[in-house]
Amino acid sequence: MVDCVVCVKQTVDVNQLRPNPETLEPEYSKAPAKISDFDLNALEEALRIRERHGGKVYVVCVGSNVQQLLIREALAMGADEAYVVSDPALSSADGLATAGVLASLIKSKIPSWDLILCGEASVDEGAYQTGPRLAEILNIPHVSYVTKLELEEGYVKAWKGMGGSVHVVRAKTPVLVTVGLEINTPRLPSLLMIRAAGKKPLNELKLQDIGVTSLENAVETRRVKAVKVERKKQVIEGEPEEVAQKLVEILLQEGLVKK
Amino acid sequence: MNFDENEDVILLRRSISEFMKRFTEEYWRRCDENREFPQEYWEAAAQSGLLAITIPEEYGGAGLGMYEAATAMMEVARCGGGLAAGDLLMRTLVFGGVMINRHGTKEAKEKYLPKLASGRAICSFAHTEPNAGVNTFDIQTRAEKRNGGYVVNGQKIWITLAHKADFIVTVVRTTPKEKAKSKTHGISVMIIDTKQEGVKTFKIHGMAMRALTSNTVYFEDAFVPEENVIGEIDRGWTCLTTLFNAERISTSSISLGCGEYVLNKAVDYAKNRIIFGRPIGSNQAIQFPLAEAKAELEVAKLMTLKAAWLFDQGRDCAIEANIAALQAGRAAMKAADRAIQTYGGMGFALDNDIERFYRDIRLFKTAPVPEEMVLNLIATKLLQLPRSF
Repeated sequence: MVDCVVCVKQTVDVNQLRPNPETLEPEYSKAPAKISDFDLNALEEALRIRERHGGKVYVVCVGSNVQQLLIREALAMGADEAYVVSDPALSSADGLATAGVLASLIKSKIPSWDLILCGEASVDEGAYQTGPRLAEILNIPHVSYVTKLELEEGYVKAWKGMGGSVHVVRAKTPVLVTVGLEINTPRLPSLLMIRAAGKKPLNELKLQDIGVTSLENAVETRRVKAVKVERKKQVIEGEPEEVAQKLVEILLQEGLVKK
Repeated sequence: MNFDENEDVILLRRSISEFMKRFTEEYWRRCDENREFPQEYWEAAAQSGLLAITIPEEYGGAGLGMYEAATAMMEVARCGGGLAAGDLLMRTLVFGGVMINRHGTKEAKEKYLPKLASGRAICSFAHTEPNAGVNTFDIQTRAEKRNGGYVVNGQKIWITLAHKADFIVTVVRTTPKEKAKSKTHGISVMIIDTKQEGVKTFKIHGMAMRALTSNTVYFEDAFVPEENVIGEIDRGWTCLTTLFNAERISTSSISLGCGEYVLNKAVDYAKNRIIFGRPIGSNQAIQFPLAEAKAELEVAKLMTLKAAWLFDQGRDCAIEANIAALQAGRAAMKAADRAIQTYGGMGFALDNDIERFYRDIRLFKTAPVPEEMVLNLIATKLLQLPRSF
């Protein structure tokens, strides 16, 4: 039996996120909310582990204005129980603050666990911080960028993507693992799973319920804005060979290609 | 009055939206061009439980109602599946799930519903005849009692997917019209298994719904066991009204999904197509008709969901379902027409999918019931005007 905790983050659908034409700041409120993509991979991996080894899958989520519906989606995929800390104070939480709250939540509410699974990063901020920081706070080993995961007695065997190579490592449980899109394809909840999700426990909490009185950020975000890109609208005229030659010169000059 | 949708419905819609990403526009276009049954979609829909929505839990279904069924049909159509994807759900959810479940015998439910819920059986519905059109009371297909069941002879036309169906829910006469005690007396509904010599189908290559295909069906001494009678013999009209109402809600939902699809495409095009130095969507001549189409789709959606809600409460919804079908069909047609106008010449290109939707959307102004007959119903039943026929 392996009990898994899966950390999920509510993000916006970045494909539908547009900058304000005046301020160039992203208009988060106009984009639909979703669970961060990598977190769904983490959940899928936990569900597969449960199918092979038994145990329970807990979903934990911290953030501001967390939509219950999204957590129900995670339950519909197959998680057994969910804990949500939704608090306005978390709207500007960075990876350190989020990891701190997740650690408090896990320590105070999850009775026992062997494995924590996280997405390697969130699709909105992409800081790659929360998972490793959470492992450090909990004082457990962690393996990041895992593309394949197997469980052995008291250990995990993880295939860790390192860009051009893969490192196969073993880590003693309890352990935290972060995963990306390569590890699996998250399942879609069937109608019966959706119906069953309504009956599963979804525990909504505030920061004080888990003993958190203050948040510590490592990073101060001053401003987020889109980069304005103007087209140069250069038209090259002439014979094909001449045009090709000029095009290559311009591309080299702009640093878009290298010799 | 509460217009909030419950969480199951919202999750169902989101889940279908993700599910439909597996089936691209190219996929549906290929099915249409080749007049090819969307087998992969059918199997995936069965696996995801979409064919089980209205089938009770004891038969492997989800035990939900027409509201959820309408939501599902709307969403599969809106996500690019169009008429083919929506209609395929209707076959199982309405002709099977609603009809057999509400009016079928215990034996028929046990035999057919689990197969329908799991996608192991395809169901069709045969009503229209060459010499009766929309006048159910003039149908000539007859069933005679013989050998512990019924023997059916006759001809049906425009029967969608009959060539692939495992069974056909069929409207027959069991008492000749001249001997019937009343106008509605003498009509019966039966489940006819197609895997017998007495059932022959011939494809009709039509303008719309090419992926599913309509058929002429001949019944020649087709045998129907007693337990396959839906409702009571000679009193089939009662259960047919259930089917017609659910069918109207379904066609309305599919129309709305198709309408939303073409409208969304038109809006995207209008935002991005630059002529005279600005997006064509900044011209009110382009944007107002699109806004009108949106407004009309939204109004029709309200009536569709109201009809579905009434249906699930077991209340009469004939007027609402018919108004919904009329308005949704018209709103979708307008959206498709404006989409072509917005696209200009590109609207006629097969690769943009607008023309496919345009052809398919046109169907629901004519079938399963022409809008003139819907207007007749509203005029005579709701407005109490004298009948013209």
